[in-house]
Amino acid sequence: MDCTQVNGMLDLLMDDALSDEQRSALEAHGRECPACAAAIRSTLQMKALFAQMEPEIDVPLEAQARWRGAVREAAKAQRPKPLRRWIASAAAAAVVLVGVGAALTLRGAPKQNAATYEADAVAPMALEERADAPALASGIASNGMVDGASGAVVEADGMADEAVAIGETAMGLAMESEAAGLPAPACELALRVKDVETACDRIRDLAQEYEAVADVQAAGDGAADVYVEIAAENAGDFLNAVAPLDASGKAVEVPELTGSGRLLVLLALTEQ
Amino acid sequence: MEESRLIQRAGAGDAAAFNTLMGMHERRMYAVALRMCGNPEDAQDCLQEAMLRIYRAINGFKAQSSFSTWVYRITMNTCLDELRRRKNRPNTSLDGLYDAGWAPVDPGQTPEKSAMLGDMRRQLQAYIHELPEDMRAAVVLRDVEGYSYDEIARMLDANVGTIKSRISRGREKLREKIASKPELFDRVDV
Ligand SMILES: [Zn+2]
Repeated sequence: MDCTQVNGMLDLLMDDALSDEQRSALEAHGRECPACAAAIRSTLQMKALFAQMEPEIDVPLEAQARWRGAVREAAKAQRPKPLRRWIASAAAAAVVLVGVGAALTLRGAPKQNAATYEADAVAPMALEERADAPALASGIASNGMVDGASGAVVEADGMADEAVAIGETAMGLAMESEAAGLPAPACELALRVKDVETACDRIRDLAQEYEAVADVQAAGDGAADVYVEIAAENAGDFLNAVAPLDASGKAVEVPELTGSGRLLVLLALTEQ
Repeated sequence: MEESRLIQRAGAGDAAAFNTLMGMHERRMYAVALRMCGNPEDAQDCLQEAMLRIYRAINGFKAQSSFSTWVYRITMNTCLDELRRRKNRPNTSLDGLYDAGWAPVDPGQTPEKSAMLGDMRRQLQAYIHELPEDMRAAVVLRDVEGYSYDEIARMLDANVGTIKSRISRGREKLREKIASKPELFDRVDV
């Protein structure tokens, strides 16, 4: 081997791709050539330092909250569009309505606004022909527009105009509720945890396991609110899995949850 | 919930699904941004901007390609755009270079050795920061993040040959800088 081949060998060394023969040849050359010996030494030092660099770094909680908040803002700006599109198509086709969430309760998130908005409305979702009705329903429900989507079928012949009106009302209410914060969670669990960031990670993992969607929001002073959207039948198991994160020593009371469809659970985390 | 379902829901505008999905990538995205920018403030700005770009584009993501390759490609492009945009800004001093993102030092080390190791790490970080941006991007993706040359070529929109030579030249520069400071790098074993 001569000096001109060394650079290529050092790349293979960095890539852990040197064969035994290549390694011996490189070492042999290094014993005779001080310049290449120095290059080999620096390469090994660099490789050892790179190995200590973590490929993943925890994002500070405030920065997590910042990008998540920015995404929610962006979503809010685009959100009414699908519903408007749907309303237009409902008016055009007008046959049978599949109503979702016959009774809605919308109120401001407790932390953000003490004011309570309560309203009953019917959220008409889709025409019978629409195969994507459940997806639309769950999309809108999880966007915080409609709480308590029940999937109940409401038959109403020739009610397109009414559907539009009701849809607009639902959208108006949803926007009002958005302005105030988030729809009311079906239950709220306060947890005193050892470390909020670690707990959030664990909750995200559990959410994955239970097919839920978890959204972390910073609540100031290192506290965090985690909103979890989950199927009602999984909610109890999920909460029982989350409860041990509490480090206060007191027994955490997991509320009984009934109902069907998807619901929202709020986990209020504070550091011990 | 599966990645594909989260992608689908995020594509329909579901911010909560998007946030869950990207929660699985944010640590790696942040590591890339931090290594490219060299300071946490700029890295966090890039992270947020990359998330917004991904959110706006996710509807058009093609399921047959790798989601993570797509995500890191956007992340890296965001960092490169930001770095080019900030070229005219006065350089941040080396004191501002972060210490985050390193494996913990073996607690059995003497304080002197730990301190020297810390100096070496900061110095290497500074050297990485001195590499031209395209070279830095390729080296970070290969030697820190461990992506294959093929993946890096897709992330950086270049052919594999170009990427290989960028990485090779980047490593050579780093090696020369390290060799020029034996008083730091040769004092203790890394
Ligand atoms: Zn030589």
